[in-house]
Amino acid sequence: MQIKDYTLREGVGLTVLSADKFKSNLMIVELRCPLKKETATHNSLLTNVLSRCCRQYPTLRQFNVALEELYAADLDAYVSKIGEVQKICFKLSCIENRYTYDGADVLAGGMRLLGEMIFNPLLEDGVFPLNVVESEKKNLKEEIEAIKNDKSRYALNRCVKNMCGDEPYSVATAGDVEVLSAITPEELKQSYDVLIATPPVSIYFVGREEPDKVRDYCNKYLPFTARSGRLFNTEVRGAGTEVKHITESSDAVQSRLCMGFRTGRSIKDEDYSALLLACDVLGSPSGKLFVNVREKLGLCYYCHPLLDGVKGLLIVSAGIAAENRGKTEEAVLKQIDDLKQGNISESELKSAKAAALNAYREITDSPSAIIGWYSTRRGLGLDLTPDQMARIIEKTTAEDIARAARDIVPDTFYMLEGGGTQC
Amino acid sequence: MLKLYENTALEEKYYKCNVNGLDVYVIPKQMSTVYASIAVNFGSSDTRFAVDGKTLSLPAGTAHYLEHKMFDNPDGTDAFEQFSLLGANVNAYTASAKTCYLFSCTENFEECLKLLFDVVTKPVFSDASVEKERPIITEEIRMYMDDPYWKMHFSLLDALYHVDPIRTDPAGTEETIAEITPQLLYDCHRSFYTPENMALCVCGNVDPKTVADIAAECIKPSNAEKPLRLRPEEPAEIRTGRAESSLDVAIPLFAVGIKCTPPKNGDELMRAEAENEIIVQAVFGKSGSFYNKCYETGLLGDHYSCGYSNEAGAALVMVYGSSTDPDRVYELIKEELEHRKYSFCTSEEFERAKKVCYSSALEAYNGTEETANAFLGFVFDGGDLLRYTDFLRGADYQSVKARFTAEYRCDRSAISVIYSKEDNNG
Repeated sequence: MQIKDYTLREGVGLTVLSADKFKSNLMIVELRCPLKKETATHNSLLTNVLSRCCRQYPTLRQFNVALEELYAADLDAYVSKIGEVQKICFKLSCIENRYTYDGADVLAGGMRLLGEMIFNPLLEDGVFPLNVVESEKKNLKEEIEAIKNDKSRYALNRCVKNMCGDEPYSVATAGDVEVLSAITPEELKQSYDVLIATPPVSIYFVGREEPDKVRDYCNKYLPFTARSGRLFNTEVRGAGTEVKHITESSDAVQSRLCMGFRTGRSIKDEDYSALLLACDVLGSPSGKLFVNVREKLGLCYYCHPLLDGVKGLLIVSAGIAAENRGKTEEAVLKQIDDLKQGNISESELKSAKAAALNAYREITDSPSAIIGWYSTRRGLGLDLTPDQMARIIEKTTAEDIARAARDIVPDTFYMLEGGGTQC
Repeated sequence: MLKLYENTALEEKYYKCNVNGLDVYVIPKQMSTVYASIAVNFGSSDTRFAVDGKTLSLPAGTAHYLEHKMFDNPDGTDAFEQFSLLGANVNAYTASAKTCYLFSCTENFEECLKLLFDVVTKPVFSDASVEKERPIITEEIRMYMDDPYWKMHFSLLDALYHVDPIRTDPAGTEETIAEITPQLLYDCHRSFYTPENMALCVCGNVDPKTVADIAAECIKPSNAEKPLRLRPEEPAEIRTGRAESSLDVAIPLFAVGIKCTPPKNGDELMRAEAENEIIVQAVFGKSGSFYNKCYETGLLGDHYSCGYSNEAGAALVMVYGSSTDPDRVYELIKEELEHRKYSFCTSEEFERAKKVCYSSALEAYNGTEETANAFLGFVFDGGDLLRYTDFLRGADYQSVKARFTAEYRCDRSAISVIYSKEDNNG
């Protein structure tokens, strides 16, 4: 894949990743801010307000009509978190011009709308209209609260919250309902002004358009001013001395167990590949967790590890019957212990590597995965392609994996206890 | 033997051949990932059939249970490990109309394809192995019980349909899966896992001839008697029209469904799908008056979706989302349907809806998995994904309007609501 980097202005970068195998183009504009309780909710609400209307299209309907005319170009604004950084993202996805049947220039039209969304919001008396702000506050509140609709995800969030309560990492990127309720249109406009002018900007494009033309579009439609291009750190902490055991109750039928570990390593470490493979030995489709916890012991339908390589956290999640908590914890710990002892069979090692290598090769088949890869690494000052990472993986040994595993320490075991019987 | 089909406007093509009764489709795509799926025309809606002079009634969840057990090897190992060693991801799922066995890989494609054939053609069930699966599937069922969307969906189908098995969860219940035996699984496998009743679709950077050769090596002609599917006669009318329950959700969730006449197979099915997708966009889409009226008044937020589905002979339109007042949303939906009978939509709205549907159909070609799955969505119904966009672009206003008037009836609609626990207590 051809990669071309441009510095549009200081602190404003564009990366064009050329690919001609997709039917659509993808552009993501990322603004990076430190994740903080005081600003996260404001930024989150801003993405709702900005994607609803703009000066030229003052209602959602007008905005949507304009987008649908461009073959349903997908224009969106949202927040996400990576380590202790909040990313404020503006996304445009639209079909390639060559596939339109009326000769429309969808990319130019989409880029123009992307610019309108970011730079020309609908304002009244210099601030966001009160009715828009209030209605988006209601929508965002519902969105934040709706997380409990998904019990597995909710349990994961609660586990992290308990684990990292005093770290910025525990701040929810979607926002906090209490902070949200107090936001005024004036305050939101101030946040907007800061957001547009201050944080470093990274623009990514995947598609077959000429890189220089993409740059020209960015210069024309995305007039970000120069700013500092600094990077933000994420703290990788060790575990506390005692494992926290937390149980909360719910009326769910199934109990959700989340076992949180600190890995002592992150994506920035040279031997990160060893940690990554440790997780694959546990979680690959025929990994230790599947074979032992599901197939041998029949304790669950799903039991998988989730590694946050930026923060250095490993969470093993499983959906179980409440009375099996002890057995499940014991079985999962046993698997991790085996890793530490170096009890890794040849086929386990081979499968784990094959899974990792396969995942790297798959990246180039998905525009969002391509952008995700580079965005994560460049945000940390790392310059590594999936190919380079694959070569490191190939060289990693079972001893490397065991060494990395020995630094994995339990921190917080959380269970959202079920007990409901409704059906 | 390999026949080429092309759509030059989309720059897409596929090869087709028949190998010992099995239809094989290969869609070339210049991607690193190859995706292969064997679809068996046997799903959770196939609950009764006659074969060899006897009639079999299957407990709910049988097709899904069979899917789980097909991964067992005779030596006690399972196919997951073999695929893992090759760096491939293997999986399977059971829907109402079909069961699909699939893998994706970036290397070792040929070995993986042979393994996939082993998975579907070599059943080995014992009392112990079938027994072992029960607690695992039980936890799978229990996991879905906590999913409000799952519950809402099946409650809606239950309110719309009297007897059609589409009403039931493909995984069954703890009670129904207790009845499943090795013999029952063997009976289903012998009757339905025959070459004529399956299709293979491969999408990726592979040689079609190689795929056909591997299929010929792995698939032998079958002389099993073709089973007769005994599907209950489903009335056109709805059953109850309303379902509600309460779960621990933030704000109430709703799904409104409109029961449609199932189209005939082939071109008629693709036309029905295209026209219904256009109608749904024009009437319930995000640029339409209905959604925007609800949004402006706070009845609906971003969490909203609409679409048409036709699976296993059950066709319906669904509108779903969350709202503090689902019944008011339902009233507005019915008002919208009545109003549109007199003024269906403008020609601009019609053309715009076409563009939305066209763009969404085009998206299906963005990855090997998406393409193969979209393709398999049509194969047992005589449709052809490559021609689908032609039906969208060529849709005629009068014909679409006539379909709307005939099919989108308020008295064929139903609502399913999941209230939040607190609401109900209060």
